[in-house]
Amino acid sequence: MDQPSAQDTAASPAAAIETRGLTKRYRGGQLAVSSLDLRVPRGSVFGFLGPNGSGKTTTIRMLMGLIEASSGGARVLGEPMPRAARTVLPKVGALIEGPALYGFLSGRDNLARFDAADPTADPRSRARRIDAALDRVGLTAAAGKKARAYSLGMKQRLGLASALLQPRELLILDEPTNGLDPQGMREIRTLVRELAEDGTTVFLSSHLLDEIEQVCTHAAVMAQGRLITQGTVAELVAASRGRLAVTTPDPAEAVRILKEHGVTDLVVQDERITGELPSVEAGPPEEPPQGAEGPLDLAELNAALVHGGVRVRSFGTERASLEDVFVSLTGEGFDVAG
Amino acid sequence: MARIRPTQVAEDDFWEDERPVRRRKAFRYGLPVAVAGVAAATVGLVPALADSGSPDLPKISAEELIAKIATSDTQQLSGSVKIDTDLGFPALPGGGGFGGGSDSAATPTSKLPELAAGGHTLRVAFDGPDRQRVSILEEAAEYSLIRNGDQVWAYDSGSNTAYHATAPKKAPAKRGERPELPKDLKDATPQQLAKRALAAVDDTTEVKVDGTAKVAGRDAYQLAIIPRGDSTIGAVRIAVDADKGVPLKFTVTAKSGGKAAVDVRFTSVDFGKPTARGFEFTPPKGTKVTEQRDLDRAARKHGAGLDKGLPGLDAIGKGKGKGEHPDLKVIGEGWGSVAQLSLPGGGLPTGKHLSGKEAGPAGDLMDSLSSKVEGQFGSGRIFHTRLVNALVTEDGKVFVGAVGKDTLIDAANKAK
Amino acid sequence: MSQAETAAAPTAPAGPVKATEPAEPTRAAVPTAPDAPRPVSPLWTLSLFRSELAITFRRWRTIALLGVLALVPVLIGVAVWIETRDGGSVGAGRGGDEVGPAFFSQVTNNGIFLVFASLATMLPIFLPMAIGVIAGDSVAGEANGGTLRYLLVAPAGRTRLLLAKYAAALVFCLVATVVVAVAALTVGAMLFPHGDVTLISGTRVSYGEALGRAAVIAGLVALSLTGIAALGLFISTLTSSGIAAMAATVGLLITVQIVNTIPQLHIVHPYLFTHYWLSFADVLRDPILWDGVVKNLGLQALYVAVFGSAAWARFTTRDITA
Repeated sequence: MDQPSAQDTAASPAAAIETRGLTKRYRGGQLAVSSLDLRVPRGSVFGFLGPNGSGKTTTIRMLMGLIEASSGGARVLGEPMPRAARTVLPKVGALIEGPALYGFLSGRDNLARFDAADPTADPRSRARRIDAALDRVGLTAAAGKKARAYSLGMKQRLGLASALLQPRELLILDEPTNGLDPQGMREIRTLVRELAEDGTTVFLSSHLLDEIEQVCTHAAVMAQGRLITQGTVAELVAASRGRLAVTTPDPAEAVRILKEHGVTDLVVQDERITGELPSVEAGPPEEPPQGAEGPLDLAELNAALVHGGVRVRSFGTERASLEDVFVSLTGEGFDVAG
Repeated sequence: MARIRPTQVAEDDFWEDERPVRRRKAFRYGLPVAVAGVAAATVGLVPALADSGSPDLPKISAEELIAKIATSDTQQLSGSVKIDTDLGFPALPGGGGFGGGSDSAATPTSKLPELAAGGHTLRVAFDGPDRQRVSILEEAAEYSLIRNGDQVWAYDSGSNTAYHATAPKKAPAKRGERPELPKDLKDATPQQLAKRALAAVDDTTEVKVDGTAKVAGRDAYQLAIIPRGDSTIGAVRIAVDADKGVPLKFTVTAKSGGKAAVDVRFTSVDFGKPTARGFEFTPPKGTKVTEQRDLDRAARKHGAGLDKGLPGLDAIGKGKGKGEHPDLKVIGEGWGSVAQLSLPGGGLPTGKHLSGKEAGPAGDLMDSLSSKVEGQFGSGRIFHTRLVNALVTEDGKVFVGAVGKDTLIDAANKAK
Repeated sequence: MSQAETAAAPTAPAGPVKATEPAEPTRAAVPTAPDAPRPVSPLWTLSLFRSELAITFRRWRTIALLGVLALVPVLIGVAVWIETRDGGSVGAGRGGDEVGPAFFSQVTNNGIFLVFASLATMLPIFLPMAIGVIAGDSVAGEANGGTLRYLLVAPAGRTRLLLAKYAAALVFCLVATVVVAVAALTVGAMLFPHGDVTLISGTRVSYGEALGRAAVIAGLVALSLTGIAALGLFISTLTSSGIAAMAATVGLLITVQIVNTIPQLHIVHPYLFTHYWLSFADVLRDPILWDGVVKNLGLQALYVAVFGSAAWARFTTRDITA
């Protein structure tokens, strides 16, 4: 074995999670995760996006040392997994594929059970830490109830509480809002933001695009076991260019002028026209945008329209969503039910 | 595309470390396999090593060794005796073997036949002529014969029954009155067996010292007694304690070879004074006690006792049992002697129809167990075992001995 | 083993932990991620074992099992008492030929034999069945409920969790045996005579000595169950269904017991974990015969070593997908 302490100092400024070529092939040949190169920066709220069955949970299980990778490796908090599980995992709180509880134990005893499993957890402070965690997820009132009487939302909260029993450097939350009502979802998102403000890296897997967009600073997109893209949410959205949207009672003339200025993929819906703005690098070379000094200026475009006698009711770009990103990257719909 | 290339951190072998996962897994499964292997090897080797002792002892002649046995004055002894018998009796369906059915009363005679089949462990303790005990160890039960002065008790813990007899104060008493520990069970110790084997030594026998051995952790000489003539017995070997002169092991091997037909040996032996409480017996409250005098009364009503003893051993003991039973005769001398007795029912169960074809399944069974013979005496069937052969004639006579088939037929012819 | 023991707990002085800090159920109680490693005491690792015991014995199923185990000696005692009330002996009604199960006939001599009779009756099936349920469910049940993954990311450590599970199963072996013995002793003392005890060798010993032997026997019976506990644990690591693991363990037990009664298979008998179980009866001889007991303990140790290490090999390399 190598010296973990040396690695520790070398790797501490590094990513909270880093994988290279991480691959899992199940017995029977099914490829669940295919050479995944993932990098989760410290301090980020990282959205791990993908439809069900895209390999998110398998990746998380490999990161947690529950599943052995077929090839490739992973580092969590700078240390190799699953080799350094004993030193790494106490610093990681996890909610994996929904909560699992002992139905015959109360909520509080469930937390005590999971806390006792951590050899670095001080039994003397256990009761206090459990109370704090219960309070944080808003379960104090139901702490004495048997877990089998909990609703799915309460179970989800208790699962979160068990991830918060200790101060963590990294939280891995697999679909944390599953089964929660909108109010519960908001609470969880607020909690995640608070934790992130405290400096905890949060790795949030979800199939809900708006959830990732609302909470995360970074995101990665998985589909069919492959990593499609990763980066900051802003970068991802920017990469997918927004669409121009013009509302006018003179659509025919507007289309002509927009075409002249290099706008493509024009769709006319009554008085509304949408189109793809020419990109900087991919702009048609034979038709350089007016004002060859840079990208097409929207103000110029608007002026051109008005100048051409088009009555413009509204003019602007529609911000791209992660869904647009996903669709543009995979060329397929984001079938949440699938 | 906004793909962030992983930056190079922590320059170590980790990322390049191609771990052969499958091989590591296989290595872990090697542990239980290794444990099982070591255990199997130990089970196989340790007894082999334990038995390999052949101690260096000063040379001794057969006569000296026999004298040593005769003059041994060991009065106190306790230990465990293991008895393994493989007489080659056919295993009958139902597992009845050949022994008499188990008697509900804890009489000693009902126990001896059980010893003739399979393996048994006995515990013996002797403390002078007055105090003796022998127990047969059974699973979760024990049958104990205890003699303390004139009191003889037998306790069968399995059925929670006891047997009690009082020996007359005047010793030695006549046979049949059980003056000491009932001889049937005492016969099962190596000492008694050795005595009887030596008594059978005559000019038809070769006696020699056959090396040394370790028995129950003690050094011993081996005395071999090899009968000549038409006997099924190949050799009788007696291991004699080099120090105490006490026979520690007694084996009988058949002339046909194979493992010992009778193997009686101490597995542990202690020549110190046995604990006193082992000779004291008081029947517990719930135990049913049978008194010998009640049995005697019953026996007088029902006629002769069923005590036949063990034919194989009877045959070894010269003249043993003579006159003990009115219907038992011994023909011949020494190793070649044949016992003659009559079946109570007069003939075989299938009567005259001894052939398989006529008698159906029962006859088939007969055929598989025995072979048909004819002679001047008429016809009958010979039942073979490794040591003892028996000839049952049509008219219900039985000739038994540790001899070959021809000797049995001769005996039958003579008896005619 | 490869679970990074190199990075073991840096046993810093456990002083700075503020145990007396007032309970402060506010958000501040979950501080931000600390840079320094928390001081860790090696004793804390025992928490898992304590928790394991609590999980085992707080379950209704365990209580019910122990209740049934306690009931059997009561039933045996009452049945023997009714049958022998009028001075008859056990089995007298079935014709004197048939000797009842071990020690039954001696219960009327002394109530303490009800302990031995109960253990002899329950050791072949009832007791190991109860152990099979507990041991078979130990890992598979957690996998089934999904709690296994949370224990492992806590991180319980696979080897440590397995050891805790096995230790709890061993405690259950002892508790189950003691429950049977104590129930039998109580019922025996109420219904049957007590006082000096006649051992199966016919030797009479004081009640105190007999109690001592009963304690030794209870210990031996508990140790006799360690083999099937290891077997159950191994089976439990093979599947993610608690019911399947329990059924497989109990099924295997019954198969082994049947094989043990088939004389044609006598060659394998000495290797069956049930084969020397009744050797505990040798403690009731005078002097005690240890041969069978030693063989039994040796065989149990072998089963524990083989199936314990097999369970370890399986569990530490297994993908936890449940």
